[in-house]
Amino acid sequence: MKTEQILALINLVSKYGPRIIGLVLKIKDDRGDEQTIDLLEEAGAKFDANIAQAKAALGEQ
Amino acid sequence: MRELRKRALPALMVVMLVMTMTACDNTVKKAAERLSEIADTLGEVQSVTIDAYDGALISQEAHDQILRATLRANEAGKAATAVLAGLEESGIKDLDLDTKQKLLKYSVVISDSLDPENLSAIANIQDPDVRNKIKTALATARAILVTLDALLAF
Repeated sequence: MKTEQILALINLVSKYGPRIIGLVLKIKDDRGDEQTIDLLEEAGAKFDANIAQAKAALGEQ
Repeated sequence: MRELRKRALPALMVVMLVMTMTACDNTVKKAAERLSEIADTLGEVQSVTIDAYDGALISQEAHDQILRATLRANEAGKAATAVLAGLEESGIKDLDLDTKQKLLKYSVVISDSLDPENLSAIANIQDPDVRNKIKTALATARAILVTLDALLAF
């Protein structure tokens, strides 16, 4: 690859990079957090249910 | 070459920032997924154990020992989940070193609780099907834990 081509490629990344970051942040705000919170709530509920089941089987409160 | 260096640095920083942000987001999400999977396998161990005891296939000692082990593992898993949830509530999206260390401590508790060497009663279970089901589910939970530890190592 020639120096001019490399420079052109770098120019493109420099120009559109901030826009890509903005897009990634938007995707994170719109989807990532909600999905992660749902996953955590689901995992927490499963652990709670398991704890209750184990305690009941062991005759504990 | 001078022009190349001048322009390459900001471009490289942009690429690295995007990669880091994406990787961090995946790490939190994947850690939550792993914890959910561990909860599933622990639930399976408990169900098999309780059913086997009700069917008089295992002793009271085995029943109690396995359930107490899963109880400890579940409580550590719940605490690990709470740490991640606390991050989300604070608006912090990346796993910092302190958080990783906390999660690794809980991971050690889960691993130790499910270690076959600490569950001698399993070896005394006479029914091979019940013994294998419990051992397989425990091994699955520990295998998932290894992938969680790998996520926390970076």
